Amino acid sequence: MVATVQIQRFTGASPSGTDITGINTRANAEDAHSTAGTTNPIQIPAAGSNYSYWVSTRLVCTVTPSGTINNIRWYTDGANGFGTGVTCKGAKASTGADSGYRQATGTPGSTGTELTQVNHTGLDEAPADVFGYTSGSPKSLTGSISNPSTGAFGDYWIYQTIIGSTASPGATNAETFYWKYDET
Amino acid sequence: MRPNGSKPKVQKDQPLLVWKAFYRDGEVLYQVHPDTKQEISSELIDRRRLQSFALVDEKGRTILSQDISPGNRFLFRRRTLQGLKTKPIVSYLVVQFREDFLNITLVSIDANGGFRIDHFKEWDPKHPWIYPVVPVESDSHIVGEESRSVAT
Repeated sequence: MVATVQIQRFTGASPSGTDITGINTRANAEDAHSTAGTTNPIQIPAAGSNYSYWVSTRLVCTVTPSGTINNIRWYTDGANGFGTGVTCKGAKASTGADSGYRQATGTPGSTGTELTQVNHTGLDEAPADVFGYTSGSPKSLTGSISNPSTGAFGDYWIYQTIIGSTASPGATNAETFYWKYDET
Repeated sequence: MRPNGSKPKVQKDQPLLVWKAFYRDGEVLYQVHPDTKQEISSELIDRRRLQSFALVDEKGRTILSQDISPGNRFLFRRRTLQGLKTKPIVSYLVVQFREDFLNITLVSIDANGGFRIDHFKEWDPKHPWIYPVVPVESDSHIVGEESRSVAT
């Protein structure tokens, strides 16, 4: 039958997925999914940058396709609407153990560890501004899944919000990130 | 409820299409078998016998019907866009191609919830829907021809 595909966020030491399809997920200073959590905000720094814990997302097939799902793409609307002093970088991950997953670390309620290829050894590339990936110029993710398999497939997409000293207190505006895939 | 008192629009589920493949000998292959409800992939369509291809809606109405020319290759894709906090949007690609010919038929949802059909003569990597596919094995089969291996 037509596959059921979820977008999941993975957290924890051995990646545990939460279905975030159709809802929002917050990039806070904690390794946890929440739709509106305020317990561990990212502190606005006096100078320099603080970071969210990196957010690890991936497609998960819960009902196998009749054929094949492939040609995975990820993108944004191309316009950073988070607000002053807030940026976001992302990169795909598939390197090494756990298909490239690495648990997010940092100081809860303060800052996450910066997303770099040194700090996250599962990244396939250096993180880049996510708003450079648009419908016309999306990020292609490698991977596929075929009948009768189910489960997570394709590269992880990891992103992190970066908070500068000019950011305003409180929740940022929400941004929508998009996934696309083909099915035979 | 929004701060101004308005209610957000409820996103309706998009109506979905299924395919039917018509063979030259009169047999019909269904994406979803009308009796058993078993669903199969378009990869299982026998290109040697394929004569025409149709997309039908949930009420059985034909949205697209296309003759498939012998000598062409044929592929079909169901292309899904999924954003957080949004319902999925699905478009369908029906493609016939040879070395010197390409016809892409895009069936997509229109603003009123119906379907629109557009035709293209080339892939466009920057288009939201008609960027190239990642091929699977059945995409290489030639319509109307047996697969042959050539002895050397």
